[in-house]
Amino acid sequence: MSDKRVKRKIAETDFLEENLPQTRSGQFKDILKINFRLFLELGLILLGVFALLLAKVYFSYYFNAVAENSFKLGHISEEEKNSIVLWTFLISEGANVLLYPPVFIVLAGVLRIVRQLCYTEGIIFSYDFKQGVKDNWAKFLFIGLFFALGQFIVALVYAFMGISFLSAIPYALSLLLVAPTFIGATYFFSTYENKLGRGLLNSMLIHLRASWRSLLLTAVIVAPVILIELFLGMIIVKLVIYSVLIVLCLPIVILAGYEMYLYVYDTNVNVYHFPEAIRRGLYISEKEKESINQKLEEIKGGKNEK
Amino acid sequence: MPTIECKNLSFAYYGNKGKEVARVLNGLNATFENGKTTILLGESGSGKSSLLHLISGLNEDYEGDILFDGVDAHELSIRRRKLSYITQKVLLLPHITIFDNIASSLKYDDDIDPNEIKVRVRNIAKALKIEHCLSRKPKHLSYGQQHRVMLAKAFVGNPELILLDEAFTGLDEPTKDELLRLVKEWKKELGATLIVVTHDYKEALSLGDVAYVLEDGKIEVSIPKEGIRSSNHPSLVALREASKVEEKL
Repeated sequence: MSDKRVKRKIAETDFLEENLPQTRSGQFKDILKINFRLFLELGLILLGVFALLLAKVYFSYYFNAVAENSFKLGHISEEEKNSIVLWTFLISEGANVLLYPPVFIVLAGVLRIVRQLCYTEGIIFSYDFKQGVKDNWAKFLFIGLFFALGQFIVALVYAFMGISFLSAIPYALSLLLVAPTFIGATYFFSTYENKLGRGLLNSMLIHLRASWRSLLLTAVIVAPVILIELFLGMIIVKLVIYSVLIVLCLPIVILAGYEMYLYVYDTNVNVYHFPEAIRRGLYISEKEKESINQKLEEIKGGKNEK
Repeated sequence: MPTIECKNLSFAYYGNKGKEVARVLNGLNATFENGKTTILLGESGSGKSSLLHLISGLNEDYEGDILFDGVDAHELSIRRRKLSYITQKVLLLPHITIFDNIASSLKYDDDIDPNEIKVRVRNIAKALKIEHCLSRKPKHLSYGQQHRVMLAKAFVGNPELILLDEAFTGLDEPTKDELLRLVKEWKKELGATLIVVTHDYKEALSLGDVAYVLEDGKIEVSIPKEGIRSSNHPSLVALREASKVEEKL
């Protein structure tokens, strides 16, 4: 190809270390700007693994519509229709036990890629993706199963108790404590090596220490689903919006979550246990380096004393 | 590390109708010794860059023989030649990061563990002072930094043969000095064979074990290391005068 056709852009001045992002929010924008295509690819991978869940949404709608039409045509009684709707709901919620685990296992790979981006450590896509899955598949499988079972239990309570103060308790618990803890755990296991129980406990403690942040992330993930389910009736529109959200928004939310948790880890975990990991991937000034080294010395000194 | 022999090598460029436009190599005989650095000098159009092209395997349409340790170059794929070829032009993929650009030299080598790739990329980037640029894209880097990336890309694969075609032209003096020092260091470390086309006296003096002057598509004269500084051959005299470099180098 001739040079005339290939326009090569060259910066006028050197790219200096100080030009690297200095805050997590700055890094979020920076990563998105440079790696937008990679995020689209991650979104498409997620869409692939979410496809079965979307199919489930479609089939639930289909069975409900058939029951509704049959009832309108007088082929079945209202009781039979309600029974079909209830069983469709319960089977659909129960199917999550099979459908969530693959989503979460893929999420382990996606989170590893996002972590590498935040740490600016370079990505070899297939290797890092596989490595993320290899390192954390069992923990993410557990989290996926837990979410599915939790959701099923909430669905059972809702199905048999209706909406009441009592049935709202598991909802509230799952939204305020369980979901943020488990969402946080996916980030925690992608960042630190911890056994399952210990990691979940740590995630819960981190959620309690930085609750408004983890609740905000949970809300950003859960709210669109609730809004779509409440206000969108047309199944095709619903599926299209879900697909768009999964491809375009989910990877970005995952990145935003990672940046947020890295900030939380710096102030709640790294400062006490892993000073060398503080502000990893960001520009660190000489002054900050000094204070990090000092912290490291203190920790080493403390260990020696012990 | 290979010794490269060119025997009776001829090469010409042809026009659209198959008519010979220019004959740049005309029965050239030369040996590029294992682990040594050979400087190719000569006027523009004397065939220096064409010779590198043929050795690299980018063009195989020549007459005569090119032998890598006695093996005919036609039998060796570009990959098996284990070479790096750096030109004055910055050839980086604009849509991928600097890390990916450097790692691309290693990604297709099945023998290298991905973790090793990461370590090697980071180490060479550190040596070239572009470690902080790894997450950037080429457009964010200056010309000098892009050159460093090219060098990183060339050396990260531990090549056995390195071809430099006016690779440092257009760089400022301090950068050029630093890169020349690194090239010398790495060349020594790898024991690689180096062939350098240059119009820069400093480069010739700093890197060369032997200099070949090309004229009319042939090696006109071979000047040993000690001669590069003192030779009165017009090519070297012209270089010396042009560069205005102090002999104290």
